[in-house]
Amino acid sequence: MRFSKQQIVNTMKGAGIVPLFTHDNPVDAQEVLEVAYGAGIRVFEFTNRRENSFEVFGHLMSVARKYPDLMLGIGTIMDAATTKKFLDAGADFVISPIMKIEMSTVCHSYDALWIPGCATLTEIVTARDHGAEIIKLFPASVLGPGFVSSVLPVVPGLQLMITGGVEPNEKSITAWFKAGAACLGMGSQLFTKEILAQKNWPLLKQRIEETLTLSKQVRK
Amino acid sequence: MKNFSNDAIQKAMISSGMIPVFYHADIEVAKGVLDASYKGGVRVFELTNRGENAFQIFTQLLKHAEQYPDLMLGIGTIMDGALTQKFIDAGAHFIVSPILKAEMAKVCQQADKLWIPGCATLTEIVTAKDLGAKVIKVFPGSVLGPGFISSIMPVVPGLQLMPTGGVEPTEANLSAWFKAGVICVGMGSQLFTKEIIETKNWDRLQQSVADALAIIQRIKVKK
Repeated sequence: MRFSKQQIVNTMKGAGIVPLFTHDNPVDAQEVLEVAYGAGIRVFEFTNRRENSFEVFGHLMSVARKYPDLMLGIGTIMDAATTKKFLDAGADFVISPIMKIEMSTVCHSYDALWIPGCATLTEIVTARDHGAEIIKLFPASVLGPGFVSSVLPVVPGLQLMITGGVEPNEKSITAWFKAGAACLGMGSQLFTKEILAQKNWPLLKQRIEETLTLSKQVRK
Repeated sequence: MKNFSNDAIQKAMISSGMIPVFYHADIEVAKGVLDASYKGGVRVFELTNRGENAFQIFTQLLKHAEQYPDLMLGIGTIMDGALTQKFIDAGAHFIVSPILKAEMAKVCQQADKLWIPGCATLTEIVTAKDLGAKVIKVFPGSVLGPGFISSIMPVVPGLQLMPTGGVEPTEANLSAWFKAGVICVGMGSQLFTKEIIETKNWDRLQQSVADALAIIQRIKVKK
């Protein structure tokens, strides 16, 4: 592995924001990755949601290798075989919208960071017992910041990554961090359809920079 | 005894968009509700296993339903493998549960019956799908909301979801669920109000059922 699990978790918590993104065009995907890097992103999640996502990810991985401090992971992984396939292709970490134990076994054998998606405290603790250092809460908009503030006193030390419906504004970001989130995953709210259609990279860079600044300010 | 393929039941669920969910310990009331629902346009009906006499009520209702050759009658609120087997042996066309229990999947598959487990998280839903569930009940629907459906559909395309619990027979509520991507809704107490049941106002019930089904058809056309 290019990075230790601890390095990746620390970088996620440091920035507070993990962008998640998918695209079926490798050229556009590369541009978005490089714009995000230029805006200060060091942990990036590409999601496996298209037919050619494996090929596009392979291309992005070759780009990411040029940036020694850029951690590139794969998301929307649902089973052990796909986990293995992407780890063999060089993924720095693996994220899933579900909690599937067989994926943890594969990740452990590679000493790779496994971030399962959970929606109840039982799922969260089961994931933790199977070695998850950081757990994705999904879909977060359904559960709300109140879920996070309710479970954290019960199981102290949980590191939760909030995904699904987090908005890049002060109100939303503040609510999640106040509740105790370790970091926030942000996708369609950051990479809006409009920005992608117009390939408005200066605007994308500005949005990411503003969001990263907000994330730092509200945690001061 | 009538028999329907799993495929035919699934298609009937999708085309009507609504399954009534009901139980009453008085067989005459249960028959009245089933008749009114059928006349209102319902073709898939779920009796729930929620009373001591539920098994007797179910077998009597199934017999009563024989006069409707296109009516599919399933049993809901089933929690284990043994009860699943018992109701399948009695002739249930499909099995619905508020929980995800793998042993029920096995029994249903052996009998080639449609198993509709109840799930409340994406992990449970994908586990159910991996165990062979074609249609999955999202329960309790009102707690999760249409936002749950629209969040998970892009992640696992092709899911066939049926929210149950707190679904209301109004344009606003039904429209939110169908826009989010459900294939049908389960509707109980919101449709079979206490008042209608107590007064045995079957004409009004037939009208309420027909109204709810018409709203769903309109929403589907708009989609």
